[in-house]
Amino acid sequence: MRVTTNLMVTNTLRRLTTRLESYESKQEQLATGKRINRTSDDPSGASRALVLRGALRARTQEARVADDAMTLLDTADSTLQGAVTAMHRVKDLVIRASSDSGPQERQAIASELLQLQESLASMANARSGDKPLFSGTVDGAAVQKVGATWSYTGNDGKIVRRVSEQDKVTANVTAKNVFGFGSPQGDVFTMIDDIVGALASNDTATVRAGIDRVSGGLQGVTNELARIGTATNRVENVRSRTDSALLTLRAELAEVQDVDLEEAIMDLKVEEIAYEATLQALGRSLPQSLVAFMR
Amino acid sequence: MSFVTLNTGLSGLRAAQTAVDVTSHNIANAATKGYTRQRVATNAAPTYQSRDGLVGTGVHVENVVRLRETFLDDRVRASVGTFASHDRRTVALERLETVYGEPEHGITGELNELWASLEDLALDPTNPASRTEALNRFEQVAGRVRDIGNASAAVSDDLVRSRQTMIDEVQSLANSVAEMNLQVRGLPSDKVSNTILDQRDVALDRLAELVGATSTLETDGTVTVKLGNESLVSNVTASSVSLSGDDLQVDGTTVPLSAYTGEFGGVQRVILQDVPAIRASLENFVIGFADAINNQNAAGFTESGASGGPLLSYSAGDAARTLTVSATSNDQLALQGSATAGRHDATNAEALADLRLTPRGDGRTHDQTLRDTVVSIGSRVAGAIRAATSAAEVATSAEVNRSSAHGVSLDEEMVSLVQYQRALEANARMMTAADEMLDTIINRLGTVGR
Repeated sequence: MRVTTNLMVTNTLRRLTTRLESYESKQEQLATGKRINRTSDDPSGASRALVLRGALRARTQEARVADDAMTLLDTADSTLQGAVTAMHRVKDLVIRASSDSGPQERQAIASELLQLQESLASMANARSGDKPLFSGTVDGAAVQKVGATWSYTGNDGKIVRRVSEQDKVTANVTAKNVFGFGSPQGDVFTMIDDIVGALASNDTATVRAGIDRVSGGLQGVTNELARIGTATNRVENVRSRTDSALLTLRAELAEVQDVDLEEAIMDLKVEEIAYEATLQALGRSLPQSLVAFMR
Repeated sequence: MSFVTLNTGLSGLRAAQTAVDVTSHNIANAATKGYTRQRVATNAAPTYQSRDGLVGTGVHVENVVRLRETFLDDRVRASVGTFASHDRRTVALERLETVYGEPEHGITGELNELWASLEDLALDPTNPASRTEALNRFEQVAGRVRDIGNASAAVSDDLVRSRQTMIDEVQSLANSVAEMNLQVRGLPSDKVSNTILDQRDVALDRLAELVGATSTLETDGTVTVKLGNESLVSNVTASSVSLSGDDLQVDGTTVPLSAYTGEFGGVQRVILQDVPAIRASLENFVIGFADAINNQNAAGFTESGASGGPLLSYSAGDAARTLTVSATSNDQLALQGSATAGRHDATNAEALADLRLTPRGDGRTHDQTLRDTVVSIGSRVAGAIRAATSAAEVATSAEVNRSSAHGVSLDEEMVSLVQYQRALEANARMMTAADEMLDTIINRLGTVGR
């Protein structure tokens, strides 16, 4: 081929530009640490990276939601543990009162029962942060005594936590179910009121019947406690799955979008050498001309 | 012995001088764009009948030849139009891609954050900080969408403006080709100025690069320039080129998009094909997203027990650029499932957050729809880059071949210079020799014994 002066200049320029372009792109990858800096670098890889990023953000959020659910469930659990202890004490006292006992002792039992009732009521109205634990979705107190009547003033609202894309966990129980409002044996608070009344009037039959009613009430509390236990288990399971999913996703995302550093540094070095070699070759060949060798 | 030798020497001397002139012209124009190397074409002068036979009378300079191969031009022009088209399209699409800013700074990231903030809202619907955060996230998404809508429109406007400039250039090139046709029409080859031919070829190259115009050399020396089936230049008249709406017209006849390439063709393809498709895709996402959010918010109840109103607004037909958060206070987030559910009820907040997983009418989720949009831009850019790279290969090789045939090689010219310089010296010596011989004959002959 005939090599003309213009051709040499154009080719030189083209070679330098090409070299510099690939040098630049390698440098960009190394500087950002990313293999994909714009979607066109690898459209299918970018699409995958976007999916993974979305999933990563969603899993992070789900972990947060699960943590929140755990807080709710743990608080409810420890409160209800307290309620169970209190109910056991109620049961013991009623059993003691139902066997022969003097008026002095009955009065002592009655006053302890009333104290237990008070602490059960405060457990029923416990809050986690500014949120009542057992009143469904209503803001106010769960259990209230108006006149001589105890009533549940919450609703059946469920606090639902979506802890993973498929799992929704109910993270609350209501005082209505825990303390047996609307159950055959009546709610725990009225039950205690009845027994205290019977003790005052020495109505042994009612006190005796109270033993079964209190057992029923205790059953109600433990049932709800078990429900919370199940929910806690589910959340814990999902939470640990979310954690391992997060690890996998991070690894996968790094695989898709991140630069392999050793490889990138090697590549950059190769590009650098190639660029320098091109410059040197051009520096030697370009100035050569017959003109220089003629007299 | 006659005076013929003197004349023969003279003809050689003159030819060598002309050749040196042409060589120096070549050297002077070694770097001139579009310059074609020239060479002196000589042939032997006629013979005369001498006593002993037919003797030549020296050299005759026939012409200064322009070493141009038309088929190499055709190859360059055919490939350069395709390349310019893909290249222009790549540049424009890359600008659009930058506007979208994916995967680092795009809408997808903002959308992910919005979904997360809605889930946070469901954790504690009464918390004013969560509500404000959620509303802010809506603002972020809407703002990003608006920015992208506006920036895309700006890119498109720039392209539309550049179109007219290109059309003006095509018109002025066509006019000058017609004018140069007039200057060379019907002239014998030794009367045609090589400089004009070179300039005409430069104009034809630029026309091919701009719109992919094809040219044919006619027997009378003029060139016919065509754009598809329409004549841009015929004989010595140029047609008028204009833009009618989005259509390229030559003398009032619309040239279909498939019939032209070049820079103008690339810009046209972006304006007429890429931009509308990308825009429609984004509009589709925005409308589906805003409607879904508004419908879900309308299905819920605010803390005061009122039905939720729309949170986002847009005007149909220009949804991306007009997407705004119409809710003015975070009380307008309707997070409760019923008017009587109590303020800790987050049924509708959950439903809002669950929109992330809810398929739209076409069975794709919002995330997927948005991803389809941004990935389709990436694919378009990658496709354009690939097309431009392979077109560049073809165009470069054609250009290299042509430049190799037409360009000036300084080494070659140096050799020619030496050759012609020696020729000049030799011819001068020839004349001196002839002179001395005549001197011998005239002054020394017949003086024996003097």
